Formats: sequence, C-alpha cells, structure tokens
Amino acid sequence: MKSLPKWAERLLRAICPEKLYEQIEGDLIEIYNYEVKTTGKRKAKLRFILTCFRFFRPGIILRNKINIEQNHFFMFKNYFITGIRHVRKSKVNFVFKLGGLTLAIFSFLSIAMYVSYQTSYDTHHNDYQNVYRINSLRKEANQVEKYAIVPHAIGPILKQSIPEIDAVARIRYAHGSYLRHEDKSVSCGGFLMEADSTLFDLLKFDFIEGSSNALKNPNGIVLTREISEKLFGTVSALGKLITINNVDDVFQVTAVIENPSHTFMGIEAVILDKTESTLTSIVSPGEFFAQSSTLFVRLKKPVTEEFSSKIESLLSRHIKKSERQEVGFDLFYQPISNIYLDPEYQGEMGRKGSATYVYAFSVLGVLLLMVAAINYVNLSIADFSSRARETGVRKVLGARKYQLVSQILLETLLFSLFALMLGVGALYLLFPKVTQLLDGDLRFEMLLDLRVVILAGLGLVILLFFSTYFPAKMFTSSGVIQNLKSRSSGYNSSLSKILLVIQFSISAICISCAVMVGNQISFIHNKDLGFNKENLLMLNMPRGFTVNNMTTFKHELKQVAGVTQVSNSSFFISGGYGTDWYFVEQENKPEMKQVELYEVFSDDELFSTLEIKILQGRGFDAEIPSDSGRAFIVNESAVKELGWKEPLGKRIYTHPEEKGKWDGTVVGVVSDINISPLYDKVKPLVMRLPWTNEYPDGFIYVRYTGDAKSVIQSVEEKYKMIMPGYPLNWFHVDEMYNGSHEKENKAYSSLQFATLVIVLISVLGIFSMAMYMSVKRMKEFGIRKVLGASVTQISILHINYFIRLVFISCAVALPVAFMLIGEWLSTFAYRVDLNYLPFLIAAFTSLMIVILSVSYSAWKSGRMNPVDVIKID
Amino acid sequence: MKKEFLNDFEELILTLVAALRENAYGAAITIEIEQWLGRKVTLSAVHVLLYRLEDKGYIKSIVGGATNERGGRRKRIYSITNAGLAVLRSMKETRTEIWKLVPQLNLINS
Repeated sequence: MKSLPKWAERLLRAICPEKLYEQIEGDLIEIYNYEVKTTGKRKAKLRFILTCFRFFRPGIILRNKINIEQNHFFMFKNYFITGIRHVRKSKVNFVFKLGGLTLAIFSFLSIAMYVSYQTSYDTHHNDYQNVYRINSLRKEANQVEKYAIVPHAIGPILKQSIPEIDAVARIRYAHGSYLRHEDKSVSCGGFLMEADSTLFDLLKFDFIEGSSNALKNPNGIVLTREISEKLFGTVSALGKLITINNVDDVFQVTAVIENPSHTFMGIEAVILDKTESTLTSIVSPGEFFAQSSTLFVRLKKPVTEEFSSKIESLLSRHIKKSERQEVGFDLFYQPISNIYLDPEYQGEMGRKGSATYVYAFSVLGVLLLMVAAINYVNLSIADFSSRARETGVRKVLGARKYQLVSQILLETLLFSLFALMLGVGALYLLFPKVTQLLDGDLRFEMLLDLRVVILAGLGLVILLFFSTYFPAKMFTSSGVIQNLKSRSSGYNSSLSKILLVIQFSISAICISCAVMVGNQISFIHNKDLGFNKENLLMLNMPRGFTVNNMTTFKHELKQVAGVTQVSNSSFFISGGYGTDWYFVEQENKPEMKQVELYEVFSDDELFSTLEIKILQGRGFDAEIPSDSGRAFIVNESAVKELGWKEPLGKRIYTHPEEKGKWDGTVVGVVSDINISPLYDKVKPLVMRLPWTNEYPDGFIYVRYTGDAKSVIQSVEEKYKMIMPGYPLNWFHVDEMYNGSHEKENKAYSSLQFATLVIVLISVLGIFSMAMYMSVKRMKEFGIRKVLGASVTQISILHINYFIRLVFISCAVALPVAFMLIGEWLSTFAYRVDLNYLPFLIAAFTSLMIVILSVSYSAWKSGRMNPVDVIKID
Repeated sequence: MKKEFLNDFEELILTLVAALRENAYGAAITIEIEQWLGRKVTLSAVHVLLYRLEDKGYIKSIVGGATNERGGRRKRIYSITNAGLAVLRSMKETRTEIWKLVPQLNLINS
C-alpha cells in the first residue's frame, strides 16, 4: 500500500492536527505493511481500519489547535464600530429599517399567538389524542346530515361491549335556565348541562373548589366561577343548596370550576344525568334530537379498522336494519382537538372557530413577514451598497469571504434582536388592543408557548437568512476595484426590482381585499333584512311561562311609555327555525304534496311590530277566530319553492293525525326575512297562529321610541311583577344581529390593521429605496440638468421608475385578489356584487402611495446643484 | 519533594525512545512493544503518549527519513532529552531503593 484509501485520508485529515498528519499517515502505512507480512492481508486490513478509527480519541482531536484567533474579536469590534458609525450617518434609513422590522415582528408575533391558540383548542385534556366525540350521520331530504350527537343510549352500550374504550361520558342540555339560591336567581345563558359522572375524569377542567368526583353525588351540581360569584359573591359555594327554575328538586354545590376557555364546550352549570333511556326509534328527526346527547369516548389506542368493524356489528345488533337504511344512520369519530375548527354539525354545543379565518390569518402573517423581509433585504442591499468602499477596503486589506459574510450576519443579527426586543415590548404595551382585535382569551404568557416560540423562531430565521444571503452574495462576488471606485456599485437592480414588485403586489392584494371585505361588512350591516331591526327589543321568556302570564304581560307592556308595538312568537332572530312536514296544494295538480317547511308561530301583531311587508293578502287577524288553525301565511321563498303562481287560497295542512286541526288556506304572502347570518339563504317559511292555550316558545318583540334605557327599566319592572325573582333576558335586536357576524367584523378589523402595517412598511421601504436610487442616479440627473432638463422632468424621471413597477405588480396582484375575494364572498348567500371598483381603488392607492413616498427624493434630486454631483471623482 | 511520575506505559515508551535512538518513531515503537511484550497496542495510543511526553519535555522530535515502506511519508523521529533521561533514571533508582526494602527471601518453597 503506497497510500491510504480516500476515505481514511479524509477522516484522518479531519481529526488529526495538520502538523502531525504526515507522520501518522506514514506510520499507518508502515504498520500495515508490517502486518501484511506477519499476519496476512485480510487481518492486516481489518486492523488497519480499526486503527484508523482509534484515532478518534481526545488525545488526538484535542491536540488540534482550535484557532481562537484574537484577531476575530478585534474584527467583531471593528464591525460593530463601523456599523454604529454608519447608523449615525444615515439615521433616517436606520429608523425606517428598524421601524419596519419592529412593526412586522410585532404583527407576526400577534398572529402567531392567535393561530397557535386557535389551533390548540381542547389539547389540554389528558391523553387528548385518544379522546373522540362520536357523531352520527343521517339522511334527510336526500342529503346526508352530520350530527354532533348520538342517541343517548349508545354510550353505555359502547362501554359495555367494546373493551378498547377506556371511558365514556355523555353531556346534553338540561331543562331549565335559572339557578336559584334563597331569593337570588341567576341565568346560566342556556348552558345548564346534564352529564355522566365520568365527564370530569374524561375531560379536564380547572377545579377551584371540589374535585372531579363532584358528580358522583346524585344531587350534586357543578358551577362555573362566574355563576358562583353571581350567586354567592366571594363566599365559598361548596355545600350550598340550589334549585333550578321553579322546580322543587334541591341540588347541592359539590364543585366550582373555572369558566372553560380553551375548549369548544360551553358550560355554565352541570348536574348529573339520571335518565336512562333505551335505544328507541331513530327515524323521526324530532325524537332523534330529543333522545340524543353529545358522547365522548377515550380509547386505549387510536381508532383502528378493527374498532370500526366492532362498532358496525354493534349497531346492526341494536338497531333494526330497515330503520338504519331508511335514515342512513351511521357513526363517525372526531378527535376532540379537531372539533373547534371543523365545520359545524347539527346539534353542536358551544363555540366554533373558523378554519378559514385561521388559515387566512396564517397567510396574512406569512405575507407580512415576507413584505418585511423584502423591505429589509432591499434596504440592507442599498445600505451596504453605499458602504461599497468600506467593503472594498476590507477586501484589499485581506478580508476573507467568510469575514464579510460574518460582518453582514452580525449586523443583521444585532439588528433583528433589537427589533425583536422592541416588537415584544410593543406587544406588551399594546396587548389589550391586540386581544380586543383578535381573541379575548389570549394571554401575554402565551408568547412563551412552545408553538409560538417555534413559529416565531422559524420566521426570524427565514428573515435572517434572506436578509443576509442577498447582500452577502452581492458583496463577496463583486470586484474589489469596482467596490473601491464608485460610491455605490455592485448593486443588482433587477433583484431589487423583483422584490419591489412582490412587495407592491402583496400590498395591492391586501388593499383590495380590505376594501372588498369592508364593502361586504357594511352590506351586512345595512342590508334590508325584510324587517326593521332598529329600536327593537327581544325578550326571552323562560320555559313554563303560561298563556295567562303572556296575555297580562303583553297588556302591561303596551302601557309602558315609549312602547309602540308588542308581539310574541317563536321567531328567533339570529337563531334558526324549527321545521315540520306540511301537505300543500300544487299548482294545476289535484293531489297534495308533502314537503318539509320551516315554521313560525306568531300572534297577529308580529308583522306590524317587526315592520314586515305584506306583499299579498293579509296578516293574521285577532278578530277572526277561525284564523287559528285555518289561516297560513308564507314568505316569498316558500312561494318560489312550491312553484305557486297564485299563492292566495291554496290549501295547506299539517299534522293530519289531529284531524283537521291545522287545515286551511294561505291568506297572505310576506317578504323574505333574514333572521340568520347572511351565509344562509332565506328558508321557505310558513307561519301560523299558535295553539290557543299553549305557547311554544316565548320571544316577545317590543318596538319602542325614545330612550332605550328607560323603556328597558320599565319593562323589567313589569316583568318583576309577573315573575318575581326571575331576571329578564332582553336583547337589542340590531346588536344581536350584528353580533352574529362577529367573526367577519373581527376579521375585517384585523385585516384592516394588517393592511395598514403592510402598507406602512411598504411606504417606509419605498421611501428609503427612492432615496437610495436618487443618490445612485444623481450624476445622471446632474448631467441631464446641465443639458437643460427641468426640475419636473427629473422628478418625473425618478418617479417613473417606481410607477412602472406599480403597474407590473398591479397586473400580477389584482387577478389574484379577484380570485381570493370571489372565493370568500361565495360563502355568503347574500353578498355585494364583485365589481371592479375595489381593484381600481387598490391600484390607485398604491400609485398614490408610491408617488407620495418617492416625491421627497424626487424633489430633492430635481433641486440639486449639478456642480455638487458631477464634481465627484 | 514531589517526584515526577510516569505511569508504566509512559515509562515503557520513554525507555524505548531512549533505546531505539535514531529509529524511535511511532510505528517502530508500536512494533517493538509488540515484539518485546507480546502485547498489541494501537498506534493512536502510542502517538498520544509520544505527544504527551514531548509536551512534558522528556523527548523532542525532528522530522525526516522517508522510506519506501511508508509510502514516502516522512517519520517523526523522537530522541530523549536530558530531562527525560533524568526522570527515567530517578524512577529506576526510586524503584531500586524500594526494592531494597523488600525482605530478600529466596523463593524456594513457596
């Protein structure tokens, strides 16, 4: 062997000190040759390999001179000093650069926090990956409907027969809405739940008092902190006795939990579910709904094929095949951490987030960071270009490539750390505003959440990479002489052009989106809903509010000064309607058709109170007794849906088993009324008077004039007379309706803010870029001026460079924005038309922004004295 | 007085360097150890010890003497310094002194 194999050589060179390498290599070869002679080739080779690897020992490796040349420290000091001198020389540029970066970091951190919070709902439960909600599928009107609930009896059946299931817990709405303690009562906003005692084992809640055994006591009740504070103040609630509504059953407080915040579940009070139902019919939708509950299971391991087939066989054992086929009943599993952002299913309880907005925000965050990075890259290229001479001198004095890179890296690093500190500081100061804008549940400590740190760290690293890579590449590859000769050379303007175009495009997209979203939001607020939502109160009556009470209350309400109209109905604004099956007469066909229609029960005054337009026929009339059960009123959508040309006088009936109790004709057609958010189309609706002696749901609408406060006060007094001890639930209809678009409103204000930030950063960037470009072209401008160009001509020449870029980027951005907005708008059933105005606005705004931010340097370059600029060199 | 101390392997190598004179370099020492003691040592261990001894000033090295056997690579030839010789000698003397304290019994019937 004359020399070592390649790999061994490389290995040894890497670990051995250079000084010693040759002798080591020689010794190795010599030993090898010696061993070939004494022990044979194969053994020698084996030993050779071993010997090579044995050089991996501290005695060898540590003998390497780890060069801590002190020179480096001096150089770092030098970089630092030159950096600071440069900052002192160009303060404006520095402030803009820093401001842009700080702003971007601030916004990116807020968005990172928001996104990480939104995507980590329900991940605090123990072993949450194995906790599932079991949902059901049903076929209704030839469509598969997803329900977030399953028949109540299924839970125990699953637990008994499938060993993979570790625990089950069911929860559903309980009857009642008020909790009473002695003479105090408090509403729990519809979130009084009944649940299995295992609920608190399966899901995690923060217990302030009591423990997760709270529901093991059959008469126990668990309250949230807010409810407990409302009822008992600061006194401990444990052991206190509570009744629900006006029922005599007494419950004892066994635990108080913190109001659940990072979970999709809404809970105010929980009692034990004592009813044990058997698996009854699943065919009728009403019965299915009434006999169902939300079911959570914790599995011992994730869902497998085997598990699904076990469930399948269990279902076929307990439910008749014919029934299953008829309604297409099936179960499916949803991991608990997905529930919050998944689409909303029927019978869902509690909060839902919106995956679309979370994704939109993530994209916005990335865009923001991109704009900031581009801005930063552009500015630092320009910045370093103006220091070309410094670079040149460094090169001449023997700076290596890695030293130039490390100089740029050091400056960028210090700079971004500084910006990070400022950004975090700004976030801390403005945090209340941020939570108001994004999500009230955010806490500042979440900044230290692992996901946020990773997201932010990743963002910063990317930013650092790009903002070091481009300037570094430019300087290390440019020629020394070129560096030294000119004030600013080696500057690749095509790269900066591309970057500027991207930046302009992003801001144009954001501007047009913001304008369009703003249009849609104001459309939502101002759309003619078919009724007048201003000066309208909705009062929510509790269950068991009797007809007598209703009549007296309505009578009393009409006496209140300022109240002009009162009506009660099952009409629930911003909620939904119930549905029922109706038989209707068809146009030109003798037989009746069975259809599912949405229905509302109301009194005769609904139309006048809500100011709903009656298009044909008449409204209900209290003077005509036969109207109850004989008169039906439909809305426009129903007329369209049923294909009636002449709706008045058409026969319509329902519940035939009640023998003609609800059998009559259409007496009127009203205009469509939007009561649910504008995502949904108006439903085909039929209205009838309520049963004479029974009110299905008590919503009272009060139309008033004048001061709302005094009206509400007198209404509350009247209510107290009829229902002593009950607080009155009242809402302003306009607020409630607008509240149902809260997500859009929040998204809009955040989008507005993000757009503002992006535009601001762009403005800062363009301003500094323009300054830099004007300096670079100063000599050209000077010569032009000498040759007779006017100030305006030179200014225009300067501005034109940027305007061209704006046009290019608009051409790229606006079609993209058009597509994005079209996609978003299509989620609304009622929306503004997609016209070209917002895009024109966006184009015009970006043009104005550019002109404004460039004009200063344009003016400056137009006004310069040619003598000053040409004499350089 | 605290005496300079070498462990047995160091002492062995130092002695070998002294003994081999102009032939004292890594590979030769390794092979010598193998032949004298019948014990295989790795080259890297020998090298590490040589460097350490050199650091302590007991041996010094010059570079030279490429042979065909070693693919034309030069050797690092070590030679013992006065300090090394002194240490070696003092260790040997100390050992002899201590040896004298051992009752000189004949190993006839053990």
